[in-house]
Amino acid sequence: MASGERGALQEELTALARGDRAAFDPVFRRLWPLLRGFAGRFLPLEEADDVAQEALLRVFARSSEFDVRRDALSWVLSIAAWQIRTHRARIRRRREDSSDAAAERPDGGPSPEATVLARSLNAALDRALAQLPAADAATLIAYARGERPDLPGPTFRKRVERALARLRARWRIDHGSL
Amino acid sequence: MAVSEPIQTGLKLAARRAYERGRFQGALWRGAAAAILAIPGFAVCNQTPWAGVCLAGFAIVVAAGRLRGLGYEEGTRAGALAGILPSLLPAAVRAFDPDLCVLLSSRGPWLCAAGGVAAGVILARRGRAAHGLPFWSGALAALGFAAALGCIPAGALGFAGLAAGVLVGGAPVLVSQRAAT
Repeated sequence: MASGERGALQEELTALARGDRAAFDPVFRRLWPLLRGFAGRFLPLEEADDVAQEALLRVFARSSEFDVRRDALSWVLSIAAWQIRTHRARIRRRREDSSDAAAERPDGGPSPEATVLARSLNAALDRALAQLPAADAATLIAYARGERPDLPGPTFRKRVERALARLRARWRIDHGSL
Repeated sequence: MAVSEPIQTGLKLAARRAYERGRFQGALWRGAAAAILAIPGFAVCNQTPWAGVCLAGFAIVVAAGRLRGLGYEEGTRAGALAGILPSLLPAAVRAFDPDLCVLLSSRGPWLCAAGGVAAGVILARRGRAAHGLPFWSGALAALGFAAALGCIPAGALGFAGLAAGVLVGGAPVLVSQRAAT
């Protein structure tokens, strides 16, 4: 900011602090680009605008408290810097909270032991099916999937019963019990 | 990167609201501080309904001056400062000697006149930089309410003494300032 602009900001903010509402527009026009630029140097673009707005509102809310002996630009930027720090702290806290929550949250899936057990059962079933005649294995797979081959219902049901009986027998041979 | 016109207009409105809210909060604090400062003048010597009205009026005038700003704020600040002495003098006298307060109040306007002289000097000195109706109306309203707190027990004579004291204290300062410029 040029020294002339800095002097103008000092005068306008002093007038605003004294209650001169006519100084509001010039102060707004001067501060908004200044605060956006300042926040943009420290934050990503999409966050910078939000923080610049918060800083602008805070500057205006506190402008009646402005001590006219102080440098106006330093005063404004100190408020903006505080706002940027607050925003960063808020983001950091949010990240910490979300990572804590992720660590504590149960995912609803099976436990590792259950997964291993299911995997070994599937493998054993695949082995047993592979040892059955191909027609029996195809019948059982179609039954498990809910598919109905182009056969009369009673015929299909009998084939399923026969295939299941053979599978049970094979399972008993391999694993001792069902 | 350009910000669209409606967004900028909305932001400007929000900023204006924030500014007015800040001034209003400041006004409440200043009014409360003025009331607290003047409470001894009400509580020690003078717990009448009229004194309560003066106490409330003093706080409201100071708060309104702060809210309005510029000459009004400067005037009410000067008036409050000038009015505190005549407001608190009777309370201070009573704290020193309880009977003296009643005696001085009943014997004439001297206590109020003494406070008025001090108030006149302060007001004239503070009014040097800020002339005009806003300053003087704010200053006289704040001074009137504050000083009335101390002068109600002395009656009409007390107010006359106060007015005379303000003139006697303030006129020479104003005249000398006018002569210097």
